[in-house]
Amino acid sequence: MTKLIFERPIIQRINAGLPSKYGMAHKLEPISHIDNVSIKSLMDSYGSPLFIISESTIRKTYKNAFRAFSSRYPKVQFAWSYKTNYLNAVCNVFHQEGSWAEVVSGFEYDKAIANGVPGELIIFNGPDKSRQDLEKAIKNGSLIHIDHFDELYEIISLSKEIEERPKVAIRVNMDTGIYPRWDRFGFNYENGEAWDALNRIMANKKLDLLGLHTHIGTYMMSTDAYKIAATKLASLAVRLEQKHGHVLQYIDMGGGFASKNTLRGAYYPGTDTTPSFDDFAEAITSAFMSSEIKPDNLPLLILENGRALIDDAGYLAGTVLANKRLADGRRATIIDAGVNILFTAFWYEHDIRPVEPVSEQTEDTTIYGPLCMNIDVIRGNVMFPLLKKGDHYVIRRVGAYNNTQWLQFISMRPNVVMIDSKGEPHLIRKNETLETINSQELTPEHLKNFDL
Amino acid sequence: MLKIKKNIAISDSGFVFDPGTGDSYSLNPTGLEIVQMIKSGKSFEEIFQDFATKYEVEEEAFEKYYYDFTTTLKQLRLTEPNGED
Amino acid sequence: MEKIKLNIALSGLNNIDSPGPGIPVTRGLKDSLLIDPKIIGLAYDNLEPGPYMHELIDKTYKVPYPSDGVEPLLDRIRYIHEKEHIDVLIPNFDSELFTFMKSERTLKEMGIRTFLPTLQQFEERHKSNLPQFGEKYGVKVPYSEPIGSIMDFRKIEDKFEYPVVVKGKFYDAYIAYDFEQVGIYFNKIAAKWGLPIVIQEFVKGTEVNVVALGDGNGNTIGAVPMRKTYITDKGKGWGGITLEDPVMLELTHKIISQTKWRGGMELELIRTSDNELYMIEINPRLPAWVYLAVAAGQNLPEALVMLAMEMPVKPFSHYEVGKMFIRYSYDMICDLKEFEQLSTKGEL
Repeated sequence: MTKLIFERPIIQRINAGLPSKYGMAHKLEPISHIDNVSIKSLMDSYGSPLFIISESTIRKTYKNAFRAFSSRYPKVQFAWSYKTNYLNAVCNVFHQEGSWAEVVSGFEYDKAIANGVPGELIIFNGPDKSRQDLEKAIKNGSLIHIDHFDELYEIISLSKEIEERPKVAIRVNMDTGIYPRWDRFGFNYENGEAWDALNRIMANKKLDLLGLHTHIGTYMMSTDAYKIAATKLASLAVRLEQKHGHVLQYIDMGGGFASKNTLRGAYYPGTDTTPSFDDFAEAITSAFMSSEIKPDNLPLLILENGRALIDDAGYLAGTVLANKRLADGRRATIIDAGVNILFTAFWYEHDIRPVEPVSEQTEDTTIYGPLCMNIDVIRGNVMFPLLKKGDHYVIRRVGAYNNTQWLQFISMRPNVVMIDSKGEPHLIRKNETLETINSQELTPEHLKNFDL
Repeated sequence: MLKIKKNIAISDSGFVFDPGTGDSYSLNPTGLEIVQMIKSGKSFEEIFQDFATKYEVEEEAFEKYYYDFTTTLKQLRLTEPNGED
Repeated sequence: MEKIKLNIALSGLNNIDSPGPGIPVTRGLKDSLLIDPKIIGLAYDNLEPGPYMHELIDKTYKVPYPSDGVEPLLDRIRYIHEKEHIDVLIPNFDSELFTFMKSERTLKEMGIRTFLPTLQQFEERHKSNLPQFGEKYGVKVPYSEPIGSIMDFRKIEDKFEYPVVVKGKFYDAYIAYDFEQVGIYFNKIAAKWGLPIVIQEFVKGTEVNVVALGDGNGNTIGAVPMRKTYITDKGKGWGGITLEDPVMLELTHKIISQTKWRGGMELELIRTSDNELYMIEINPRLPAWVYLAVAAGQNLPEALVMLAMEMPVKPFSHYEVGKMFIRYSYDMICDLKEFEQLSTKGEL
C-alpha cells in the first residue's frame, strides 16, 4: 500500500472580529514543470537555488508585443534593453527575434558589440557616456541619444576630429500627467529646453539628427501617459519639419510598461491591472496616426521595453531550509534564495508557489531568505501552503533586473539555465565559486601569513 | 502525559471551540488526527506508530512537527496546564 | 401578475456599524412585486451578519477577496453557479467592482448577468481623477491630488490649505489639520487600502447625497436626494431624510446623461453656505441607505435587477419627500454550529 503524503499539523485561530485580509483562503496551485521540464530534476542537475529562463516564453511574449504594435503601425522596431537582463543567451534570443540593442553604458555597449550586434543597430542611452564611448559609437554609426548639453557639446567637439557624422537623437522628458515625473533624464519639453537642443543640433551642420526619444517612467500602469508623450513628441517632429524642413527617421518611445507582477502596496494583483501590449500599442500608435505628421513621413516607431518582455520568462526555484515560529506565533519559512539574488522582492509581492503537491491548508507565513540580515524578506504575510524542510518552491516573474542587479553577498550567485524551445535545458551562466571571487583579489605579500 | 482540556469541543470537521475563552480554531486533517489521538490518551510513540503506518514520514521529521504543533496547543491554552508528568 | 423567480447573488452582507449595502438591497428585492428572489449571499468573513439573517439571505457562500485576483474569484463563482444557477449578480463593495467589471463577459457567458458601470466610467470617477472628471463634465469638485508617499505631499503642500481631507482609494476619509496628521492618516489608510492616497481640499458645508440608477443610455431610472440627519463618529449616516431638491436632481441627471452611467450610484455632495454644490465623490454602486429610496417609492434594487435581465423598466418620476430612516443595531442570536459551518465549510 502506498503511504499518504504527510502534511505538518497546524491549528489556526478562526478570525472572529476584524475581517481578515485574506477572505476565503484559496489554494496556491503548485508549479512542478516549466515548459514540460521538471523543476525538481533541474535542481538535481544544476543545484538550488536556480534561475530558470524559458526561451519559448521570451519568444512568445516578444511576438505578442510586436504584433500589438506592427498590426497598428507601418514601421516598428524593438531594441532590447540590456540593463533589464544582459545575459548573452537572453540578449541573443531577442536579437534572433529582430531586436536591436539598447545600452546605457560603455560596458553594455561592448557587450552588444561582442554579441555581434552591428554598431548602427545599437541605441546608446543614458547620462554616462565617456568621450571614448562616444568616439567609438560615432565611428560605429550607433544611434546616440543625447541626455544633456554637456554631452551635446562633447559630440560637437568630437565631430571636428572624426570623419564619420554622429547620428543623434535627443531624449525628451515631459509632464505626462503621471507621478512621479521623470525629469532627470534628457531635455524638458514644457520649458522649451528640448526645442532649444533640437535647434542647436540643426544649426550645427556636422550632426545628423535622426530621431526623438523619451522614456516616461517605470512600471507604468496607465496607457494615457504614453498617448500624451507620443502626442508631444509628434508635435516636436512637426515643428522641426515646419521650421527646418527636416524629417525625422524615428521616434523612440522608450519602455516602462509594467509586467504582471504585483507591486507592494497594490490592492489588486498585477495580473488583473496591468494593461496589455495591445492597450499600450493602441495609446501610442493612435497618437501618431492622429498627429499632424504627414502620412508619408511617419517615423519608425522604436520601443525599448525590457521588463514587460522578460519578466514572465524568468523563474527562481529553490529549497525550503527551515520553518520556525515567530514571537507572535506566526509562521516563518526560510528559503535558500535571498534578496541579494532576488532584488525585485523589495518592490513586488512575488508570486511564490510550491513545486510539490500541497493540500488546501495554508498558514499566515513570512518567507525569509537565508541571509544573516534583517532586511532579507522575500514575502511578508502570505497565506502559504505548509511546506516542510527540503520541499521546493518556485518564484514566478523574476526575469527582469534580477540577473543584472544581483549581488554576490554572503553566498555565491547560482546557476542560470535556459530551457530551449524543444525543452532542452542549457546552462547559460555558471554559478560562482570561491575561486571566482578569489581570482579577482590580490593579497599583499605581508598579509599572506598569520599565526593564530 | 499531554492532555487536551476536557471542555474543549472538537468536531469531525476540525473545528475547535474553547468554551473557556470563546475562541474557535480550525485544524488541518493531520492536526485533527493528532489531537484526537492525544484525547484518546495515546503517547507520542503510539501516535508516531499510527502515523508511520499511514503516512510517508520519518520519526525525526514527525517528532519535530509534532512538538511544534503541541507547543502551539499549549500556547493557545488548549492543554491542561499540568498535563505533563 | 406572477412574480419572476430569480436567483440573485450579492455581497456586502456586513450589516455592521459601517454597513455594506447587501442587506438593504436584499430588503428592496424582497419587497418587490415583480420579482420573487432567492438571495445567495457572497461573504468574505465568518462574522458578517448577513449569512445568519435567514429571513433575508437564503444561502451564503464564502468567496476569496478581490485582491487575490480575478481567477480565484471566478473559480468560486463557477462552483456556486453550478449549485445555484445565478441569474443576476450584484457586487456591493467598491473594492469588488473592478474585478467583476473585468469578468463581466466571462460571467455573461456563464449565464450570470450583471448591471455595472463600464471600466471607463469606473476609472474616470476615481477619487484621484476627480479634478479631470469635474472639468470634463462641468461639475464643481474640490481640488485634489494623489500622493504615493508622505514626502510627495511635502512637495504639493503649498497648493492646499489646512484642513485637508485624506482619502483612501476605496474607503476611508479623514480630516487632517496639519502635516503630522496627514502622515498619520496616510499610513493608516495605506496599510489597509494601498496606494495612492488622495489629498482633497476641504469644502465646508452640509453633506447631501443622491442615490441613483442609470440605464447606460444616459437615462436616469431613479434618483432620490437625502440629507443625513445623524452622523456617527465614523462618518456614517445613522439617520436620514429625503429632500425635495430640483438642483441636486438636475446635477444627477446631468452626470448620468453625460457619462451614460450604467448601474447604481451614490453621489456625495457638499452644499456650501453660498448654496453651491460640490461633488465629492461618485460611489459606483447603490449605497447602504438605498432602502430609504425603496420606502420613498423608488425600488432601485428591483429596477437594477430588471435592467440586468433586459426587461422593460419605466423611470421613476416621484418619491415621497420627508421620508426618514433611523438606523439601529440589534443583537442577533446565532448558533455556534452555523459559525462552524461557515468557517470550516465556507457555506451556510
